[in-house]
Amino acid sequence: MPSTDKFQLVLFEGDFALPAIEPESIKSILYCKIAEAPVTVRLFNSYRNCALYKTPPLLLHDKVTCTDSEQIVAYLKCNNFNIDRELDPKQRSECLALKNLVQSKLKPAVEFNYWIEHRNSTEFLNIWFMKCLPIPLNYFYTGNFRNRAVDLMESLYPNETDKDVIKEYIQRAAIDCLQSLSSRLGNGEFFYGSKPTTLDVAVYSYVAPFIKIPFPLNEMYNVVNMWPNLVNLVKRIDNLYFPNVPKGSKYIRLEDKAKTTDDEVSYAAIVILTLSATSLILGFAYKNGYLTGKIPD
Amino acid sequence: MTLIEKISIELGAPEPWPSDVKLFQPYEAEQILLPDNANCLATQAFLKMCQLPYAVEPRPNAEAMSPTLKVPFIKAGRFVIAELEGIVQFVNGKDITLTQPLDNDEKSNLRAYMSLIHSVLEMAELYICWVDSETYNEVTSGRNGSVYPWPLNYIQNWNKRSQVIKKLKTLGWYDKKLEDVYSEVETCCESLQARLNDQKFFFDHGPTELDALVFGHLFTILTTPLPRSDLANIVRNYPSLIDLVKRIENEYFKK
Repeated sequence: MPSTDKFQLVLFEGDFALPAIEPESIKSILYCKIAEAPVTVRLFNSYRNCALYKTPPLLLHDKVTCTDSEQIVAYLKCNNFNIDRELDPKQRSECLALKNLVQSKLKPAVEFNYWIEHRNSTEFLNIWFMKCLPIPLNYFYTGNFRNRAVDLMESLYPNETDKDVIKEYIQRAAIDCLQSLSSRLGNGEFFYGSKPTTLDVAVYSYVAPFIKIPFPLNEMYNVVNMWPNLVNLVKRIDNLYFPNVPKGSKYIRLEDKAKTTDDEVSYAAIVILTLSATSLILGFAYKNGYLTGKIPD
Repeated sequence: MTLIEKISIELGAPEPWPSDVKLFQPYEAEQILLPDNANCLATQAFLKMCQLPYAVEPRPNAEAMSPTLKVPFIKAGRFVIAELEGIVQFVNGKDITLTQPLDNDEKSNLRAYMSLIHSVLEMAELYICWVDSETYNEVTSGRNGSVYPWPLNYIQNWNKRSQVIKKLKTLGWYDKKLEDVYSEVETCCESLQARLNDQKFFFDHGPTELDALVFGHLFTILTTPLPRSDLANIVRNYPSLIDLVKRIENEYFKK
């Protein structure tokens, strides 16, 4: 029996035409949309929604709380919102294997791009989260995300300390994986026929961020664009399930301004510096008697 | 795969397979643990499938000797290559391959299933060995520490355990309960069985590295005595997987 109660889904806010900023949240909201589960979305951007002290995505229903996307999908499947229902056992098996491939090869690439790549994390995502979340939580979550990413890199490559080398391994693994996915997808609409499955969900949530988020340093953007059928899959899912997600962005616009006004800011700084330096010198001179109000005879 | 391995694959390509290849691994009777044993066995099965001669060389510190800090690794002439994936590529570099007749689709399929085994069966084995306190106290701590003198065995155990726990935490396995781990293993075996579909091997034309990897893990799970035999019991529910394991054992290991 489908449950008639509403599910509550707590997510990080979306931006840059993405329904949510990070892959796990994207996965859960996309799954809910495809399964047509009756969810109310609560955005995780104010104190009122932050009282749970857990990392989104969260699913609240009756007294059950699911704390990660896997649990959410499993719980929704138990409640008869199963989008893999029409797969036969062999397809289901292949779907599981490919999902694992995506998880183990693309997730490190995403985490690396989000949090390890220094420019992306300090100049971009940090600012985004700082503006999105209220004050103690933004430090807490950005710190948490970064630690998690560092731990992931350390456990994947325990004896490698050079960031560039790690990046190369990760990108090579991601390219292999995208290659496999692209050849599996071919010209199909979705991976299995005309309806999306959990595999499409996983691919979307790890590929879309590379395409959409304007990272300062995004080598994966060009990599992903080598496979137009994957890009088209992302577009197709966007059109079908997120037609109303705003294309512009809430927080980047501020940043664009900050970027374009970068020179002006430095002019202002120069003026202030010059003024203060002159007044300091003048004050010093006046106090020591080099300068007096009197005109010499 | 490390840079060194990449170089060895490129440099080693033109040379034929040397006759004195050594496969380094921990001591099988006293020391080796379930996940390591599975990987060593998988590599041995792969080499036997390729009909490449090798000699097993047990070393107490094999793990620390390995370039990636994981067992097994082989020494072929001037080159040292670790782990099944690296070894497969090294062998492929010499134009010896088991995946020649596969098309791209099948190759990506093979890669996907190999990653499934690494991310489910291997994690489950690590979980059972290092997180489950009963198994840890009765088997893992004794075996892992067996090669070190008294105070060092505790330090090494503690060290290794915290490494493994950190890895499981980042991959989301540490928070799972034992039942969740079992259900993951069940799903994995189910999907392997569905893929195998009563064929002789995973791909029609003959054995591949995927068969070797599946054999390594399932054979080890079935034959290793542990205080909790649940994993083995789960695997026993899948007769065609058991057949596969028996077939590979008879064909390659009982000669």
